[in-house]
Amino acid sequence: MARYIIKRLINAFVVVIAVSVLVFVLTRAVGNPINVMLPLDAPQAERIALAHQLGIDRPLWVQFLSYSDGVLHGSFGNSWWQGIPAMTVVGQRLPITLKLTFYAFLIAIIFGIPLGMLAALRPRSWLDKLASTSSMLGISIPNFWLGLMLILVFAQKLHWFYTSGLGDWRHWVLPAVALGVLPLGRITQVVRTEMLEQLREMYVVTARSKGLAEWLVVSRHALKNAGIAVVTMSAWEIGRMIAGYTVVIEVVFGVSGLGDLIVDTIAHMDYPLLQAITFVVASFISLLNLVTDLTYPLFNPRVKFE
Amino acid sequence: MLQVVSSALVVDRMDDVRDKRPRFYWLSTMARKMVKDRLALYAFIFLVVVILMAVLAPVISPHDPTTGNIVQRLLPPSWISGGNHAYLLGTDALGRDVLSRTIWGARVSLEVGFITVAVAAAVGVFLGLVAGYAGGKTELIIMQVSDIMFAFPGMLVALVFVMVLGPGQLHLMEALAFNGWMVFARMARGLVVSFRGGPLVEAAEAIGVRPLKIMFKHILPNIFATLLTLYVLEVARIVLAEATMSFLGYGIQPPQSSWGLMIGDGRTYFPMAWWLVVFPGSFIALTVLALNVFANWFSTVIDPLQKGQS
Amino acid sequence: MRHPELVREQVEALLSIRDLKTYFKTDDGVIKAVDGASFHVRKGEILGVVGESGSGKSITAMSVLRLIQSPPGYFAGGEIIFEGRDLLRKTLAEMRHIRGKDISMVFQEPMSSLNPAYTVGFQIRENIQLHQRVSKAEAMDRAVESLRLVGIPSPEKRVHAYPFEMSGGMRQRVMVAMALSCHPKLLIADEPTTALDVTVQAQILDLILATREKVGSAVMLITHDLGVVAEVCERVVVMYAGKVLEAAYVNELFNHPAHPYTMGLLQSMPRLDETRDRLPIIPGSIPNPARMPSGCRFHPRCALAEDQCAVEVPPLVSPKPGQWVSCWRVAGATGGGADAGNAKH
Repeated sequence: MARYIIKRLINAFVVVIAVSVLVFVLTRAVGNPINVMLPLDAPQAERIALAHQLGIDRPLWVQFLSYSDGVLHGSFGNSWWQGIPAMTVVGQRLPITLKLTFYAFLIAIIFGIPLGMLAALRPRSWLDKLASTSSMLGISIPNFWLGLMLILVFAQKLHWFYTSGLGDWRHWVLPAVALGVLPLGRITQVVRTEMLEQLREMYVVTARSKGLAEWLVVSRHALKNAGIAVVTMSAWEIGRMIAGYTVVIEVVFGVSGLGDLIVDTIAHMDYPLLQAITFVVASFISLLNLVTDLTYPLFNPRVKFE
Repeated sequence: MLQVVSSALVVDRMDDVRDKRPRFYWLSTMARKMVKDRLALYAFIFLVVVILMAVLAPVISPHDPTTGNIVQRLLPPSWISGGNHAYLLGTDALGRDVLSRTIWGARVSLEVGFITVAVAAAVGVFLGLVAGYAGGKTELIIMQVSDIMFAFPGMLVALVFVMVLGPGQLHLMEALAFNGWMVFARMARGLVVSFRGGPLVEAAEAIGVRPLKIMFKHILPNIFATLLTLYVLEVARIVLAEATMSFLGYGIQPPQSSWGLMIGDGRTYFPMAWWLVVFPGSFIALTVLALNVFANWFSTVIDPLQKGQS
Repeated sequence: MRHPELVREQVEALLSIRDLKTYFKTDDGVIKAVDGASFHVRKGEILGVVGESGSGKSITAMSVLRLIQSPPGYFAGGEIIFEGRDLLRKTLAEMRHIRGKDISMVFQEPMSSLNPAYTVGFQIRENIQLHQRVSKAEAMDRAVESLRLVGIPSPEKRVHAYPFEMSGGMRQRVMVAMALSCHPKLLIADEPTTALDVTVQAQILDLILATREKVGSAVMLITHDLGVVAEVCERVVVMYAGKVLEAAYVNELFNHPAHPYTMGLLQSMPRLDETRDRLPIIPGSIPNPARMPSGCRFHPRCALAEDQCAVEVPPLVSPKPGQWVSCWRVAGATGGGADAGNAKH
């Protein structure tokens, strides 16, 4: 078991390094941040000076060594745009995005799991059709557009919630819903599919033949076996949210979280900040996958770690 | 010499038997099944309409999508007071016709979708077939690379690409394809592995058919249907991804129009000029929905066991 | 009009299945899986229900506990009388009191009949706690005892094992243990040995016999294997195409089969004491359940069929005490009026 964890940690490590290197190489070998930071008519001398100041006039491998050295000593450098340590900036924004993701995920499982289960219990019923249709819609509607529509209806017309920013819970509802609709759709679908499959199995008949109430047969016996698929999909969607969906949702709702930061970082071509963000996001996703895999034995005792 | 001749004969005959009659039978059965499933039928019709719209854009578009009449800016849809019949769905801040931009937007969004995924699929399937069939070190390396890249944060990578190479349709497609081949590789390799020990491959090998040929002529047709389903699903995903990127300003650039870009532009005037956002967004939603529904229907048709599930 | 002998037997029986009709609605039409089957199980006896696949024997067993999925299945007629009440008329809530407690079931596939995610101890304990007011610890003790009862070594340790850690034979023992944990009056075993090795088969059959002694339950043993029937059963019911063709005590059935189908089955069994070049087979195959032959279901394959066989379903008659046959050759001979209440179709 310990060997498995170590193996996976090494794997996660490789992933994080790979992404970081990719970003590093792409930005410094191909990109040209000077054009963003200085006006186009700036004199060449100024450009050279800035390039030197930022350290991007050095050969790529030198830059890489210097950067790695910094990282190993715990420093990701200062954000070019904000002037303070890059990790500090990330640290300020990360909790907000995590909170938003958490709320969205909560919405996804609180509604998705029961809906998927009910659909599987009554195939071809109106409930099943409702679940299928709504989950299809959920994964098809562009979430940023949904966010705008929600703002239109609930904030502007009905004045129930706020249109942007953060504060009390009323600020969180709309962004969490807009962010959570797609994961909700996916989870509904995966629960429904898995449950349908499990309900075909013989052990379900055995459970019924013992005189168990149907809801227990479904929730205690069938659901546990569907667990792995549901957990896997959940982890996948959380990763997707952190790595992508939050970017556009935070922009739409004016939430200053990590996603919003990413957009600004790109606009400013702030390389140190970008590296720090990449590192954090890739690490988070890798660790999330590891933790998810470690939960598998809880659902299927046959899963063993070599 | 005799061996080569006989293997060629066998292969050709196999093509014969497989290609001719079964195909017509397949298509007509599928057509019948689609008519029975209304939702799938509507989805298919909608897709055809949208594709036609995209293809015929230069012909059917009432106005030039890139030039606008400033005098006619921010007109509401024609059925609302203040609207103008010349501009059915209204105009944007630069006076450009929303309907025309929507039609041309379909062209861009679908182009990005279908082509990007085609490239990703070609690369991915090829690598997956090789990995699955060759096994050993090759398989290990390809799958490891695929797994590592799977863990890449998708949007982040796309944004970095765009940041570095500059925004625009081509670079966006490159970015999306870069991060889109893995799922095809994984699926192709998985399917090949399930065939690998089987009688089909054994027979072909026994006659002496070369590995490349086995992969393409024998295994590929059998897994084609499953890969097609995946292709449609990925197109849906890429259409959404393009819309998101264009909305943020990092995808399709003006004066071109894409649905996502229209929403991004229209956001400033939202919610007063709601038509700038509602129409393109609806199109994205409906197109992606139609793609997903079609893929779902298709997968149930090719897998009879799944059919009982819905 | 019911035969008086049959009526008396049915009244005394523990479980009495009367003219059971279990149908399924499908896209291809109505499938009459069980179409007017009648037989009974006496207290403490071991009854074998024999038939080919598709004969309706498993569906009959599932019908007793109302485990038929509805839709698409439904009961088109008949009664299943258990302890004086018709099980088909009970609510599912009432059935749940009977399942696992008064009537239990053991299934064919021990691999998939147990939930892979829970220990065997948990699954047995669940049954006990469901029907008896005992603490978790007490239920666990009883689970261990039931494992001991079925001959599983080191039951205190095994009780924490998962199904995948056990062999097929052991899993089937666990199933039996679970089924008997609340001392049911009737144990229905649906092909309990079919998926097992031959050596293990014998062990499980012995187990069923032994526990019948200890617990006192009656056993309804469903099987397609006449050898199993000969080993273990006291009485036998032969089913075909959803109907009962013959019912008799084991010795009678094997030595003096009355129905042509039974005769055919016995003849096609390989025997050690005869040398034959070819095994005789019954020509033809079982009918398509969506399109059953008219009259006697077996007549298309019967060498002794007469005109009447194609027209009307023969009634169940009793040429000897304890023996029941549905065949015009016998019914014609005994004379009309000896009708066990079969419907005309």
